Amino acid sequence: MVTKKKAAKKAGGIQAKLKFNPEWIKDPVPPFFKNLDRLAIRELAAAKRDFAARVKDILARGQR
Amino acid sequence: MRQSVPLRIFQGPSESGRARDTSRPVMLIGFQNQGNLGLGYLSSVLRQYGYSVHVVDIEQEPEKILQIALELNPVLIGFSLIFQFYIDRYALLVYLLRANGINCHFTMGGHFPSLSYQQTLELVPELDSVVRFEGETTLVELVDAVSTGQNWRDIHGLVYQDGEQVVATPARALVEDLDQLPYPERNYEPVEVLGRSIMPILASRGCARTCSFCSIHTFYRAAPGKIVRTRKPAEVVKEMRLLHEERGITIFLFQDDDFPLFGKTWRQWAGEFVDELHRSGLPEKVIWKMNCRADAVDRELFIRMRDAGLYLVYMGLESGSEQGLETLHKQITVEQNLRAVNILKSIGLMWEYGFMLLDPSSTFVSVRENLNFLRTILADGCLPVTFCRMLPYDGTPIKDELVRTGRLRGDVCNPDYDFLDPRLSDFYEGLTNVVSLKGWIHGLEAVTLQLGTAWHEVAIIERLFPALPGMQDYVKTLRRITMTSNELLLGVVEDLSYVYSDGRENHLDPEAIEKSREQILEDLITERDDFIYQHQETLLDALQLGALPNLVEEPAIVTASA
Repeated sequence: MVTKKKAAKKAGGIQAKLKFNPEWIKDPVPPFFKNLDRLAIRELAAAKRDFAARVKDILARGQR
Repeated sequence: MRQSVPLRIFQGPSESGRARDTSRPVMLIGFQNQGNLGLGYLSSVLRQYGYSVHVVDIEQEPEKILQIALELNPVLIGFSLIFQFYIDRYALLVYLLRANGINCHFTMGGHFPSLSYQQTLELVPELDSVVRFEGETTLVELVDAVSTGQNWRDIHGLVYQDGEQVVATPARALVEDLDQLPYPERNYEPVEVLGRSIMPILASRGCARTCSFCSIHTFYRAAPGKIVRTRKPAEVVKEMRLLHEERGITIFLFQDDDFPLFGKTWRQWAGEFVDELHRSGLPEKVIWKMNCRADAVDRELFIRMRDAGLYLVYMGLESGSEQGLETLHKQITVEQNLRAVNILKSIGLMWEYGFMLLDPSSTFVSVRENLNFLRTILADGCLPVTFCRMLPYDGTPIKDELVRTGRLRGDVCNPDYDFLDPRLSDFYEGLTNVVSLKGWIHGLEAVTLQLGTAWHEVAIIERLFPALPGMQDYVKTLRRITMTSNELLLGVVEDLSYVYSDGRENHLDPEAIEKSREQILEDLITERDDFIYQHQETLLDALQLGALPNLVEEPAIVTASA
């Protein structure tokens, strides 16, 4: 087994084109679509509340 | 980077007596994941009629979207809603835009707005209209009318609020000849894996099947016209060739609802597609992925497709229990699912699968049947475990059935249901507590995604790079790591099921499980980076030379499992 330190060194030596990139798999469904266990739903709801708060903030600033 | 492919003449809206003012742009807002071919087709059709189009990613900051809208002063903003649980986010954005003086026509399209248009107008009251079903023709006619101040309320395929009433104009027929559509606009840089560029593409639209958890067939059946339409194989190959030659695309992801394979007519289509690919010389330069049902997997046809560049098959297996398959109305058996997997393994084709561990008919018995099924198909460590819980979306027969039986719970953004056995709800809750599903199955940091990525790289290296020494050993190592991960996760799920069904003592230690997960990820990344680092020069040389694929009869994915 390669040690963690050695692996980190190798990862650093890997050119950008060949770096590990799990983000590319967005097919057939993007990750958030699968994020529907209850924990993820709670996180999604929190993100939406955050979004709503920012919308309200923008509107409030606009009104000033 | 714009794609310099010639536009064809889409015989969409009738030209007789139509006026248009193309001086103001059209703004389209939607998800940009997977390239979003839907928005791409709408954009290219609008451009064909002289409009400039600005596509905006819904995931951008709302302030940024507002700023773009203020600067563009569009004649119309079209909101593309793919995922119903994001409708409240769209509603807030629409509200924000209106409140800041964006007074142009707002319309929305997609599966949910098409099928649940009344609810859409209630949830997003600032909308002027909803475009139902395939929107290419309707949207052009709508923009034409709005841009010239004409009456748009007679246009077919629309829904709008008229006082207290919701008015739906006659539904627009589905696009009959997909080859009349211009190629979708792909106004973005492609995603790359190991330096190879990826692009989505479409060979057909529609699905003839009737799975109970899916709204795709409902969407197509509710609109007039033929449900499944295929492009001409030669036209699909022509688009692939252009994308390869002009933009260097080497990996194509077919996004068809159900790739045309099933039955005599579509098998013939697939055969012609393969022949056309060989005539074009593309199988030596590109690889492609498609989605299909397990009952469409046929050894002879799939060998032909493999040899024509098919490198990855996604199948919606969905259940390893006959009862589950029946509830999901898959019209397929567990044996057929197993047969499809075995065929793909035997011919060296990489595959992926969708799987629902839990559905409204689930029992502890069916959960264990599902776990056994997953153990069977993944016994060789060929892929990581993945599963989800079926959720009842609008427009699906299963949601209607849950409403009828009083079991539907949640709301439009968080649809849910009661299990017949209430202990299953506790089991699922317990599972999310003991095993972070986000860390194992869902999300960017999840074991499943990380292992899946490593396996994809293997499939791509085997098909698009020269043979690398040590590949067989690397594949064996990946299998070992995958097996360790699968055994742990499946064991935890099974043990927990007995805790809730039989009252067994819960000995599971979430901290220990999490430590094991971290170790699996560390091993994976270490081995992966070590292998890539060793062969970096060869891989980079191949990219610079545009090397031909390393087509092999029996890729290491299969041979290593023996």
